[in-house]
Amino acid sequence: MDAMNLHLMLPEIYLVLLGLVILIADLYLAPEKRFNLGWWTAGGLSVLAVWLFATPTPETVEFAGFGLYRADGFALFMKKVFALTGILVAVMSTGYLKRYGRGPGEFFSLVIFALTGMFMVASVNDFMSLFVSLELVTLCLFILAAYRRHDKLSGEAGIKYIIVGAMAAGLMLFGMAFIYGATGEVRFTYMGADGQLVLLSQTVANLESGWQMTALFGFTVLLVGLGFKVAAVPFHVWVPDVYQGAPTPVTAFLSVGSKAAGFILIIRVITLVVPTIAPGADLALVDQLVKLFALIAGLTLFYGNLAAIPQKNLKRLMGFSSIGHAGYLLLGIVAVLAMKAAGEETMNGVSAIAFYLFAYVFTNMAMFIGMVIFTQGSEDSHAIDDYAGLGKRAPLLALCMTIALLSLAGVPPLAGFFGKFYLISSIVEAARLDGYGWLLVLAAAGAVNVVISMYYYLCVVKRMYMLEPTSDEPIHLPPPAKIAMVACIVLVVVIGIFQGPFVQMATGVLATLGF
Amino acid sequence: MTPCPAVIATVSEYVPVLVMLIFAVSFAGFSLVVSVLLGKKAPTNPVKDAAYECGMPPISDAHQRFSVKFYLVAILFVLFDIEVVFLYPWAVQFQAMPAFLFAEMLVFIGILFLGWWYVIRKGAVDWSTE
Amino acid sequence: MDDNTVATLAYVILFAPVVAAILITLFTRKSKGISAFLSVGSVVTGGILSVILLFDQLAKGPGTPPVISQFEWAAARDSAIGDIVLNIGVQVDFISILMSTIVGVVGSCIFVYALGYMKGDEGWSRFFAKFAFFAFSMLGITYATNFVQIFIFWELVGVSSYLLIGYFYQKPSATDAGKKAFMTNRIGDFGMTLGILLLFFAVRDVFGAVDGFSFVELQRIFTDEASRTLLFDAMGWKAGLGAFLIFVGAMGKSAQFPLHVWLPDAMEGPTPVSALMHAATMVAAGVYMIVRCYWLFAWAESAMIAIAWIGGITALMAATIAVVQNDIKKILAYSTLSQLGYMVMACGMWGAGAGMFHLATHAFFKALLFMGAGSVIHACHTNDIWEMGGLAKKMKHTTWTFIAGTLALAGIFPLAGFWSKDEILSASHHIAPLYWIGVGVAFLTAFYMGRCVFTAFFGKYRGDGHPHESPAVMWVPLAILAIFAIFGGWVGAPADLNPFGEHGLQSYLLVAYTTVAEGAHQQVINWPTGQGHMAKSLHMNVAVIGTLVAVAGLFVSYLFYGSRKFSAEKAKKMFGPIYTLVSNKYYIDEFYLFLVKKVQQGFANLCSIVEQHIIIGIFVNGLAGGAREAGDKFRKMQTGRVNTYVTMILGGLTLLVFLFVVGKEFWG
Repeated sequence: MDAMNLHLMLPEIYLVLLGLVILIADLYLAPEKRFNLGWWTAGGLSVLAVWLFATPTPETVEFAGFGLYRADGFALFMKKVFALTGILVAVMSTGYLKRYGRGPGEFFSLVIFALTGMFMVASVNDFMSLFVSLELVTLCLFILAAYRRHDKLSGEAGIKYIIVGAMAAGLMLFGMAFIYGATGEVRFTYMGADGQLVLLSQTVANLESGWQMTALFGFTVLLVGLGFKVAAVPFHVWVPDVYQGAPTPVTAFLSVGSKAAGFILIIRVITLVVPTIAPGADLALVDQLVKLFALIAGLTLFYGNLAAIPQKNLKRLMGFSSIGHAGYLLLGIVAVLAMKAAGEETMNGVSAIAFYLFAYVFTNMAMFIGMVIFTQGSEDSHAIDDYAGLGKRAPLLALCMTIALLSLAGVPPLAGFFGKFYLISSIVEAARLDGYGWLLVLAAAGAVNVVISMYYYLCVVKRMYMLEPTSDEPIHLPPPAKIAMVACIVLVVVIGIFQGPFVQMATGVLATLGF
Repeated sequence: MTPCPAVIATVSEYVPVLVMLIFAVSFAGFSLVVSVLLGKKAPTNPVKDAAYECGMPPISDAHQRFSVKFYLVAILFVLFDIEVVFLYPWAVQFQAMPAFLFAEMLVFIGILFLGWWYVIRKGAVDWSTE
Repeated sequence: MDDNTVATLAYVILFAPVVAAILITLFTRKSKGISAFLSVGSVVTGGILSVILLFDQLAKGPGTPPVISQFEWAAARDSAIGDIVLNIGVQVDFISILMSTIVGVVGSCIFVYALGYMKGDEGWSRFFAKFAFFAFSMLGITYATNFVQIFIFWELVGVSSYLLIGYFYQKPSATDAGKKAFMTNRIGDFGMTLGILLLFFAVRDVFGAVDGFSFVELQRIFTDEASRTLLFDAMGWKAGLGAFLIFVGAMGKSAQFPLHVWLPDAMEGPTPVSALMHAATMVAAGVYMIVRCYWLFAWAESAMIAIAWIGGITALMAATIAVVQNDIKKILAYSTLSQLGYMVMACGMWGAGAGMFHLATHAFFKALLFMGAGSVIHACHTNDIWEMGGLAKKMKHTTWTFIAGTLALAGIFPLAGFWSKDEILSASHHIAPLYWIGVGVAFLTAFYMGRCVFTAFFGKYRGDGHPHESPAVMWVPLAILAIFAIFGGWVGAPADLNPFGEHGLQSYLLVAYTTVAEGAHQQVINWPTGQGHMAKSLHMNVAVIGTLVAVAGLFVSYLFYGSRKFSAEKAKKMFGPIYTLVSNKYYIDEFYLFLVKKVQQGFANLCSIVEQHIIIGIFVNGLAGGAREAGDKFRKMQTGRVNTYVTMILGGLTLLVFLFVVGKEFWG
């Protein structure tokens, strides 16, 4: 605990160096060669991904930075997810930026710095480092969202994102302050007076009931701040506008990276800071959190999926769909909290979320790569009606997008189905606890929303295959983007059919969630 | 809700803050008073009396053109200025592990230097080009 | 060979065809040569590797423990009933190797034959891709390590069968036959699912964490008397039901009465398909599964008796129908049905060794017969034996191989069929009615095959084409299979006649599973013959009676159709009503049609009304309208103004704090 242990932070150090190299290289490359920086980025991140996948899952938690930073299985897993996300974003941005024609160096270094933030988010062990790393992610994304600065929508997206984001950050700090006030501690894990490692949750559990209320208020406000990140209703309001206005690769990055970062932090807070109530003890704090999250999850599910139905712009639709997916992921959180309230340390919800996020990366990225290919790097044909007859114009593209949409909708045997299946089954499992039978309603809501989402996803598919093309302009599929998209789709299918290794990877994170 | 006894116990911890507050207010008041007493009384004009707003006229038409370079330089100044603040906590903690902290500060300054290099190469402080 | 090599070879055998199928579908559809090479190559490789494995197994001697290699495919851990882990892998033991050798060797011959048969067909690549996919599915059943895997591949076999029966999709009768096969099989599969789950949950209830899908785990439970008794006591009558429900799956695939109706129609597929799937391998899957799970069936007495009777009824019924068929492929189809009934009957009388042996010999000579028939059809462009005749002079190779197959099927000493049929009749020796059914079927088999041969190959040519011998690519596989049909039976002959002495096929087969089942016979029915060891010598009386009726059958058919001493027309008239009944296939199809048209259609109409008015009217359209309405309302919340957004967030926060933090004091 009391050591710098820099070697644990090598991935982050590598990322910072990579970002700086790209930033400086941009200054010295000839303008037409600058767009190759996308390949540098993808290559550099691929090295990182290989490195991370070759790293064995740690069997114990190790701390670095004097306890500010933890290296455990969950962090490693999420870093893999982020590295893959980064590669895919880099691949799809390269063609996009070539078409847009402006400053690739800053774009890619911002992506890498945001990734650095996400990597740090995965390893936070402290409210301070939580805030700093999350803000690193958000600040980079503010700029990226407004990257097409001559485009009104993009500028609007940036402004809205920064205003709402600043408020969320403020709320988050406010909540942290209350938790600190109640416990006198900002570290999630720290060395107690007797030289034993202590979890902050133990401290919270031992608080008097008045201070518990203070902590509960702190949790509520903090989680509202995090709810902004994951797009939970009613803190989702920025999502549709920002998703629509931001450059498409950035939207992809937001929908996967930023959301995953938010979920990591919620998981960190509820596993390390929210106490597990011993049987028979006062349930108040955790029980209230279960209800709070159940309400938010239900609202998020229904809002995201219902509001997606009347959408006419595919990017905006993906925004609402992303809200719906946040609702599913919140089910896993509710399951973990309910288990904690009943005194059980069963974290199946966490592994379900991990599996879901892993599957979601490929599904969502395939969809966004498809959109970038379709719009040929511009931002002016995102209307769903423009996709009419895509099955005839570009059969491969239409097929890949269809599979991605079906996986998003949760059609077996694709990856998305099993993600939803594991999440809903974690809720059903939690509903077997005494006094939590009502969680079945939430599980049913999850199932109902699969049907609702099927409707608007299939409407897109319908346009692709049932309607006649409105334009006969050929669609050029640039080879790198095509390969990335097909690889994602293959993985979506493979994860769906051979889940064994992936589920094992996702359950592997559970062993080191605590100390 | 039962009142929290701990709150009462910890109020004394805020005394330094109170002292700081008093000090800050009296310093501001002191400076004003001293400058009024000792300063030369020059004739006033409207521009001079206006509130100082980062070098821009505080009241004017929002639709007029202005050079963005001005803000760029200002923000760069603030950035590099702020970074120096990190030197204070660093200096306070330096004795704890001198070698490591020295290396760390070198890295920090190095990254700052890279940023400065980037700014120069990008031409951010070059007013002549358009 | 060490276990790793064995498992690796098995994986190669299993996955080579599916790789070929994928490559053909994705890349080489246009180039016929490469497609055929990939498809045939993958199966021939599988055949060669299977033979290597078989020799390895023979060298290791009887009773070698199975090699099992599997990986986790999907899992639900910590669920309400504990961990459920589904594995996919290979279980390599003598039975699976024998089956894979049959699939590989017969398959290789048929794939090569198909090169000639399908020449010039426009769907060539499609055909070979599907065919390879079928080989993969079948091998998946063969090497399955557990019930879930066998079920998955069971369904895949159903799919590939559907695809291949309906291969000539321009013909409505072919697509109909495909659908019929698929749906009939689904009925069986449904029973199988129920059976598998029944067994799984029973095992889970009694033994907790044991994997109730895995064959080895189940075998361990059923082998051990204590655990078996525990399980049977817990299950009660459900034990027999479970075994029978699993057998229902076999009834579908192996076309046992009353689910046999799809098999004759399946002859709409190309002849190589009929030969490989609907004669040699796929339809034998049911029998294979009974043998694979013999540790289960052997102890479920009630299920066994039902199995034996269903097999017997199928054998007899199909043999009688075969007598009145005119289409050469239909004759063979009903003959296949009848032989499958034979195998199932043998299995049902604790003679799984005999059943498996007959499966093996039957695969060779029935594939041979089908391909011979294909060769004839290829030459005469008709299926009707009355439009053939005198082909012996024109198609020497085909004729002689076909006759070899006929004699083998009829069970004439010393051809392959003789030995396996002898085993079956010996197994049923002590259950009088079934034994006599078996003997009757032997007579009928010889009779209808004689009828077919005398009509099609001898006498005068009655058609109006110019039949000629098929190319070598077609008759060479015939010749290879004919060699197996003539000599193949010796490997399973009783010890004193067997060229391998004590180490004949049966000694391997039986040790593989009947060490368990032997006790079962003696306990369940006091049956002294003992299938647990290899028969020392021929049961003379069984062999003599079997041979006599076969010769008699051939002779009678000669009198009717060869020398025409008796008139077939007169016989038809003499048996008038019976003839009508039999030639209408006992009206079973009509009965099913009645069920579908009247009962099911009526119910469907009722459902349709409910669906139209209640489900669509109220639930679907009502709910969809509601959802759209709600979506529209929600959309309006998205005003695009940041101040609204901030207000919403802060309002939401206030509400949450009020509900869950402050409010807690009010309502606990």
